[in-house]
Amino acid sequence: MIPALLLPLVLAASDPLAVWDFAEDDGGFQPSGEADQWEWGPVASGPGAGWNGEDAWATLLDRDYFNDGDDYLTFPTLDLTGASRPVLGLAHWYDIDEGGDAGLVERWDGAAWQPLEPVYGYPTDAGFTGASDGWVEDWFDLDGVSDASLLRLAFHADASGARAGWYLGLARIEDGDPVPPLVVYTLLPEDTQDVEGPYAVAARIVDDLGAVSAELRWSDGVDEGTAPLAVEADGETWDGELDGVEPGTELCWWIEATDGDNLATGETACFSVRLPAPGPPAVAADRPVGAAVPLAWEPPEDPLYPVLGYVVYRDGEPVAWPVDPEVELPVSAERHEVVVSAVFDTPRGDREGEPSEALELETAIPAVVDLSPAEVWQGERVHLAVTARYLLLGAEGVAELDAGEGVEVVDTEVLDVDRAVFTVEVAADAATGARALTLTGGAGSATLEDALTVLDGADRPALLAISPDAAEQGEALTLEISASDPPEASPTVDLGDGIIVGGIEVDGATIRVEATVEADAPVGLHPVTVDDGRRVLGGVELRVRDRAAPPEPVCGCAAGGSRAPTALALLSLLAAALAFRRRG
Amino acid sequence: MTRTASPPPPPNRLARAGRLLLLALPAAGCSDFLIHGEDPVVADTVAVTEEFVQTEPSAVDILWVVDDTPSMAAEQAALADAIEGFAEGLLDLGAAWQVGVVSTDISGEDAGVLRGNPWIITPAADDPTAALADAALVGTDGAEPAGGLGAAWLALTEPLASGANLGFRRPEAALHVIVYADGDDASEPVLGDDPAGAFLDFLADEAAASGQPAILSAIVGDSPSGCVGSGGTAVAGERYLAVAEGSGGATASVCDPDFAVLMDALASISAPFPDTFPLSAVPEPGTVRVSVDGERLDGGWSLSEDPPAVVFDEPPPAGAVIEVRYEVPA
Repeated sequence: MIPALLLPLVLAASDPLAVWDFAEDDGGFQPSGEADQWEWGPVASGPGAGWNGEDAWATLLDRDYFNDGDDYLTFPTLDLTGASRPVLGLAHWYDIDEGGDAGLVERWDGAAWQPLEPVYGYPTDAGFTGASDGWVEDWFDLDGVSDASLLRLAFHADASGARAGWYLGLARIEDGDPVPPLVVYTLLPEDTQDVEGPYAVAARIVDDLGAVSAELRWSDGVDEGTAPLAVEADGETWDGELDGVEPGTELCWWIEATDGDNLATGETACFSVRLPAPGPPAVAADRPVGAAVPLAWEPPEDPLYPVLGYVVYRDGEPVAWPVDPEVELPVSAERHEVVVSAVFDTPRGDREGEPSEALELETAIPAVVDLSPAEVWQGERVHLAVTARYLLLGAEGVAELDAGEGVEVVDTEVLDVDRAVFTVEVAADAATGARALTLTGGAGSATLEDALTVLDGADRPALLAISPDAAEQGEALTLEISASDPPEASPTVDLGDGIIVGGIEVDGATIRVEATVEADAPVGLHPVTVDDGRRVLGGVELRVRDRAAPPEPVCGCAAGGSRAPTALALLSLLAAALAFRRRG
Repeated sequence: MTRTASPPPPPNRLARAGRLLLLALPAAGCSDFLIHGEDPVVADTVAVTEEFVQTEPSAVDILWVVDDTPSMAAEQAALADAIEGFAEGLLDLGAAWQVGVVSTDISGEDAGVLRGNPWIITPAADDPTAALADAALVGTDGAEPAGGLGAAWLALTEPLASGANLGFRRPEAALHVIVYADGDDASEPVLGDDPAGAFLDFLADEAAASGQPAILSAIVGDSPSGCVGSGGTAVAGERYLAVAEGSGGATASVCDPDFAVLMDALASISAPFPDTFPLSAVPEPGTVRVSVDGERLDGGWSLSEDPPAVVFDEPPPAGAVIEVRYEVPA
């Protein structure tokens, strides 16, 4: 026995008559019975330790109890005749086979041992059986018990099924009212969509002397409050209500009860008021590509209130408010977290429900990543080589470039899904300055701001001169074309219909071209263009004359138009040809 | 002084060297020509020489089909290491290539869907080599049966062709399917009772539609007994080998592949070179002479008249200089 002041359960409403915590001795308790399985000592099974230290009484300290026997643990002698209202308290732990094994507290009535009913009752009619789920405390009214030695713990085990057993960690006898009310909830609100309330609660409050008062308390995580409880005619059943709350609230509540001497607080119970979430958004496409990704989701299941629409969150920010469960979600990065919530028409007004499960959206964002050249001149024709990403250029035949007014695409060559060359003509009056470029492919469009700069055409690269500037049908000759700037790559030369271009030599800004004017080449001016794969330069013309109406001959011509090859002419031609071969 | 080629600039066009030599041929009974200070010549026929340089292959779509059954862990790692050579070979070619990777799965929602990101790898990718190596690691949790032919067929046909794989298969590009597997094909659920025949028909249709070759190469277990080697263990990939042989593709052993050589070779045959060289004018009949790298060819080519062009039976190799001499009316 130890002084009562050292015990955690010290109540001013009663006086301790005896306390046994079995920490240092067995308290004088006497085991007996058929299987002789009540033991005192360090606990190695069941709870693993005593209630107040290592030691306790147990139906076997280190293993499951024996089957098929009745065993008893009798209290030591303690005169109770002087006590006005003796009450026995037990701190015990049990895990007993419910199939036929049980523990009881018994008193000797002078003729036989009789079960002693706990203030809070046994869990079953058989007594303490099943699992206590930890150390628990039970109280017994000892009215009429003159001595503690007339009390015992009776443990019955049938022929089959054994578990850890019954462990007694502390016993005490008080004089007075040490028993706090027991609060057992009988009606607990469950999670609900109902935002109006009220939410009914009920509890049975048990006390050996009868509860005096009880109060319903609540907390929503921000505010706390109380609500009244009313007791029914049986004196044990108490009813109350909690008011409706905003959706998204977890409302916790508990009951405090007092019998005037002892205060008891019931366990805290919580329920949620939540409007249901829609199904998780899913990509409604084979592959999420594009600046906007189609998403769809299932509406909330069994909503209490009508759904007005949805809110789509991208990385925590609301970005769309569709009425139907689908959206073209604008994307701005390769990864987004997307959740959706529904908006309900509730008695509290339009209220947003719970968010859906998140979609980890990985997207391919179309982009224009490169453009060459990035500067063009008014009035020129230029090949714009564009590199893109995720636009799928050419897919389904789509490869378009929009560089704004005054820049017209005249030819398109798609190299692969990422690259294309657009030949554009820049109008002579196209607005100068930087402009955006929009590229469209099979996966959508992408715009690159300030991608293309149009420069004043006065400075435009051009062909400056061609020499000679005239040729006749059927003539083979070498042309020398002067450009304002050297070609950036090996050029092609176009001299117009009927003129076959042969060898091309580049010497700085001078291009020499071997050309053959076919006999039926159109007579007149032929615009000359030099295309270096980047720019198409023009600005000079070659005049083709009818060989039947030649200009004045210079030399080597017979009078009267009768013409015959001369040795000089043939040698000149051969010399030119051989010279070209050597250069090549 | 720079000697130029004409007319190459649009990037994947045939590079055509620009030397055209003109010789005046005196014609009997007719001598129309004038001299205008320089040295112009007029004659009844003109000899034209056009030169071309075989520099740029055609566009090609390359589909790797990588076995993702549990036995492929070591083989996939080896492929990821070696595929750098393949990518570099492609980059060296300069062709407008696109590469995609699928697993041999023929069931499930990912069957036939191109792997990786980007899923269509082009020369413009940030790091084409890394992207390809990453995509080649398709995992080893593939479902049975594994069917490389069926997976390729799924990848290249509807609904994936215009769905998840949109943009991969280009209408005018060559097609090269490369299967890398340690088991044989089991594509009956997709291609019917004769998967090899069905796939060869599919390749033939692709070739006919694109006007370009469509082939399959197989890096699989050796015939007839399979193989064991440093690259792993494999059963004979008879069906893949049959399709490779039937389509003109390459074959190699998955057990002990010489990746350095193999990848370069695969890249080379992936991108066919042009076999047609258009002429600037219609030649006079019987006047065309063709030589490749200075060696005259009396056969192995033909003349297409409309438009005028020389068409080779087999495309000249990269870097070859093709010279075509002919006469046109003056």
